[in-house]
Amino acid sequence: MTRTIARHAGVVAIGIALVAGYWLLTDVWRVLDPFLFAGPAKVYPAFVRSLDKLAEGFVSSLKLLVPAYALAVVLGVSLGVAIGLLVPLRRNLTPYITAASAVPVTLITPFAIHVFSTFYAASVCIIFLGAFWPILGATLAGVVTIDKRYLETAATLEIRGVEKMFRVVLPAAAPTIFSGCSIALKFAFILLTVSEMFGATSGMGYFVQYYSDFARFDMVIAGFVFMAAVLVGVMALFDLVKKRALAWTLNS
Amino acid sequence: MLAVTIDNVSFSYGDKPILGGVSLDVEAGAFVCVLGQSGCGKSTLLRLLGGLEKPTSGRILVDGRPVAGPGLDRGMVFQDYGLFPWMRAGDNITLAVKQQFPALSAAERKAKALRRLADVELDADCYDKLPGELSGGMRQRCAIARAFAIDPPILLMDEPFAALDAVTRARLQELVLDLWQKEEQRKTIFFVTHDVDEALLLATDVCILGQSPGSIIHRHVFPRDKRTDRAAMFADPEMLRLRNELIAVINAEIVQLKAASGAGPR
Ligand SMILES: Nc1ncnc2c1ncn2[C@@H]1O[C@H](COP(=O)(O)OP(=O)(O)OP(=O)(O)O)[C@@H](O)[C@H]1O
Ligand SMILES: [Mg+2]
Repeated sequence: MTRTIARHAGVVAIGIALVAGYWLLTDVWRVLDPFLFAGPAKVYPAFVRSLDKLAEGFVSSLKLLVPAYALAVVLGVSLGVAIGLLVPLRRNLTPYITAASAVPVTLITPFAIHVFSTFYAASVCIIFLGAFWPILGATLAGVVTIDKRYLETAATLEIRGVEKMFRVVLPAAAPTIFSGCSIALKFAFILLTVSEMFGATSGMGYFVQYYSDFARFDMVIAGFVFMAAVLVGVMALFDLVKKRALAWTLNS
Repeated sequence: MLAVTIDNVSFSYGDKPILGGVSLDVEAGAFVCVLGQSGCGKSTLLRLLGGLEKPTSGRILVDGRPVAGPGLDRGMVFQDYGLFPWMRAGDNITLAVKQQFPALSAAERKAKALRRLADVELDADCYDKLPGELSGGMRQRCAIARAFAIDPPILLMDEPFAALDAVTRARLQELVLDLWQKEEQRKTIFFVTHDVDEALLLATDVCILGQSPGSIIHRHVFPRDKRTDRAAMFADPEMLRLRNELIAVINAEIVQLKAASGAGPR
């Protein structure tokens, strides 16, 4: 326990310094516009007051995030492996994948709302698309750059099909796939706010959006802080999974 | 166990010729040691035999049939081990065993893997280690254990003992000889080495691969009843004569190559 604290001492110190600096710039010296940049003196009570609402928003945001992200991982990785291994398919699809991944997902919003009858489905679709392309791209890149020697060893041992996919291709490409998944997770969080802008009645993104419309920037900042904390927590969880899966590549 | 015929095989990487017209007839059960300077194409020849590369011209026949690709009938020990770094050493072996003997139970596979690890003098705790946690020589022994565990009729070994200390190397040489001699149906082994003494000890058939482009420039086939005995080997005048002959051929090749490159345009 003390060791965990010692290891994170630097993180905590930087956090305190950041908050203190912000506090000096706002509440103490009033350098920043107090209307936009609410100081900790205002944000803290706002945060405490809206904790219930934020927690409720957290749950409803997860209901969007989890299925959308999970779907993106499953489809992105399996399609990426399939396309990466089938050379003719890859050659013909690559330009389209590049083109599709260049379309900003926010532009798709009106189309998603039109196509899907419910707000929920449209939101899941948007988050899914935001996460899907980076995962697909990373998986493709990972499969294409697998060290040839691994594939040759697999070939001499006649490891084929499903066995080859799960015991050779996926582990060999895993470092790249994981980095794609981690970028995708951050995208998913950004798109959460976008997708909760329309039709949502609760959620972390909705919370921020709602108070921003009323120019309640103390609440907006409280919401940001909460979302950032959730993201840090989720990424820590993600790193834990990654550490276990990639134990063979880690340097320390 | 299977005869191998290399029939006028040439091979190029791009437009760089590596092998030019290699021909070699190897009878079933032969232990072929391939000697030659670094970069002359020994690994390339093994890769062709393993089916990992296709000859630019010529053909390779195993038991009369052309090699169509890599397979479990030809076990490979790569120069750089070729273990999967994400699997424990033991799983690397049991996976290979499962490929060759799908009928075995998990426990039998594990027992087989442990036996082969012991054969190459690795402790049982190596079974649970990742290749990254083993030393270079241990990894190489693990790869050898894997090749032995699948028990293929043809073994292709690329400088398998190069990274080992003299004592372990001597033990493993005995082990390979044992494995090869004991069987009713002897394996056919192709064994690349830089060590002339190792070749003399192990081989029934010593080939020297020349360079630019590579072809067999010298071959010595021992009589069928060759008995190898490390101690007696260097007392045998015939062996000493052969040793000098092989070294002379290798040196002559190097000198000739130097002269050729020195005479070229500057
Ligand atoms: N993938 C490749 N692409 C292009 N050239 C290659 C490739 N692999 C090997 N070569 C070339 O082929 C030649 C023969 O290489 P090879 O690995 O067969 O040599 P070797 O006899 O095994 O040498 P060593 O004793 O050092 O292992 C070398 O000149 C090398 O540069
Ligand atoms: Mg080599």
